[in-house]
Amino acid sequence: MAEEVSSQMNSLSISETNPSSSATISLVSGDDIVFKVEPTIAKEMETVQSFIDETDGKITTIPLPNISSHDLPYVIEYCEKSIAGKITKEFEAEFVKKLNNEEVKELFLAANYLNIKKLLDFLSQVIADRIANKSVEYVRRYFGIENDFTPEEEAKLREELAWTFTGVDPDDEDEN
Amino acid sequence: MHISDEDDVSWILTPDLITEILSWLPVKILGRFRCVCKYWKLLIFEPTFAKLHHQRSPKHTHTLLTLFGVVNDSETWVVAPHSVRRLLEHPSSPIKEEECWRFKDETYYAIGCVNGLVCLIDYESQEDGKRKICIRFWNPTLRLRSQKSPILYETPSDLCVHLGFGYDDSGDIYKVVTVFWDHTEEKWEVRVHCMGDNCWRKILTYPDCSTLLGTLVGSFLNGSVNWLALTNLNCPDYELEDVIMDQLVIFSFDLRNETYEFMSLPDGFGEKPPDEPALDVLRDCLCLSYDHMKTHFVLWEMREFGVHESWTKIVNVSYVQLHFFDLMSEWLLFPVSLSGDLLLLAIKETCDGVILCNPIDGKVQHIELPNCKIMYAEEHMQSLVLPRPLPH
Repeated sequence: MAEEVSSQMNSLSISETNPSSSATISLVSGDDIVFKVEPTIAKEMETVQSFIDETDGKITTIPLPNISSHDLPYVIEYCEKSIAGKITKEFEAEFVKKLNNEEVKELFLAANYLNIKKLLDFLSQVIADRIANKSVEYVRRYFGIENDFTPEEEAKLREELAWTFTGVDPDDEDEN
Repeated sequence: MHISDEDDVSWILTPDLITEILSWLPVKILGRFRCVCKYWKLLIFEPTFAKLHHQRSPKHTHTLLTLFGVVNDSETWVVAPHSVRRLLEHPSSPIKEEECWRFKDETYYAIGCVNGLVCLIDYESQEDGKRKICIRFWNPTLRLRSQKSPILYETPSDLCVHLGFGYDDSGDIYKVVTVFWDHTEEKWEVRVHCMGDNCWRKILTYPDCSTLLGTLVGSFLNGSVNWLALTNLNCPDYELEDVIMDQLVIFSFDLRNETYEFMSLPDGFGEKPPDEPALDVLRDCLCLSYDHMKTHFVLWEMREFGVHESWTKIVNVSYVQLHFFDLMSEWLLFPVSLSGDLLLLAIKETCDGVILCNPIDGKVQHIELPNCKIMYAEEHMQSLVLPRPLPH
């Protein structure tokens, strides 16, 4: 069964695939591309599933204005592997290798919006790994955080925590 | 391909999501990220954040060693956390001054470490021959030390004070419990100090005909502090050779309810060992280890806390197999860590090294730790738990 879902999903693409199947759910990305998915996939996305439940399953086309057609296939791919019980370290490593820091951010927000706990957990670890050796300035830029310390406050704090500032990568290797 | 880059503002994360990401980072990096903004500075030291971070952190990665070694070119007693992996891969790395707690004159020792927080006893000898006892808390990963606790007791210097350190999950409270024999009342007395409080509460006294064994420090597991004890005695003084096996039990003090109970030792624990057995916590199980007939090192694990039937003998290895021939009158081997099938043993005080053995396939490896005589070892991890009260 799991294999079946998996092979179907591999052939998944834009709206024209199998439009008549009543069992499938149509997910519409923010840029109006339709993705047909099995109901089992929708179940992984709590936000989508609760929408379906609320309408007693009558509505099967679900707009996801916050998610782009660039990100949605990644989300679907992850859900598909998750259902098949095939989330391995190797899969996860391959999965994130393709993504730059900006894309990881977007997927993270998508996972949060769709309420996919496993993907959210996984991506938060990915982001944590990617910022671990970065400078404080990089982290502020990455998260869009304004520095609200006075220069004196910051200097004092940095002095207190000086021993934590070893092993920081130089900022110029940012990939964005 | 992206929806738009119209506003980066969409990437301003809610506190929940920030917490989600930061909770996966190691302690040292979180220390650095306290400089990002005021919100992060506070968040990272919040008790609820520390708790989430603790749940997500790898456990048993470190061991806290009390040892006699060289720090900054001088020989000294210290308590120092060691990464177990690093200890095995780079045994000769020096101990850094800023990462250890140096004893001034053997007046400190570690009572235990729980959730990355270390509790140390501080004896202050006085001119009249009495000692003042108080406690300090230390998070070695954060390099933060608490102030001294209130004085527990002024005691004659020969009085045995048993101490244990643990955590009451229900109230999120770190507690130090002490058990001692009150000569005037002829009773055992139990007192408890909650970290951050300004007192020691007298919890109970009991005239039970039991006594704790010589090891002063209790082992914390599953909400209770545990010591080896003897029951059915006529007086608190005993000679191990006069004791019969059935008298040997575990005294278990429940930190939440502040009550105690006795638990029995494994049935197969037949011969009485010539020296006191040791009680430790390894990979979240209570472990009993001892010398058997001066020929074998034996280790039992209580797989399910409080369930007598779950005692399992997991190590029974001969000294010949361990290439350990330095047996003196006193029994000297004690466990440092147990992970997978690998048991790490140290030789008390006498030897600059540890023994790594695999009880399943019998492989044994001696690892030299130059200038490092180990006295005690306890499993440890890195955490954000703050010692209290912090000095200002």
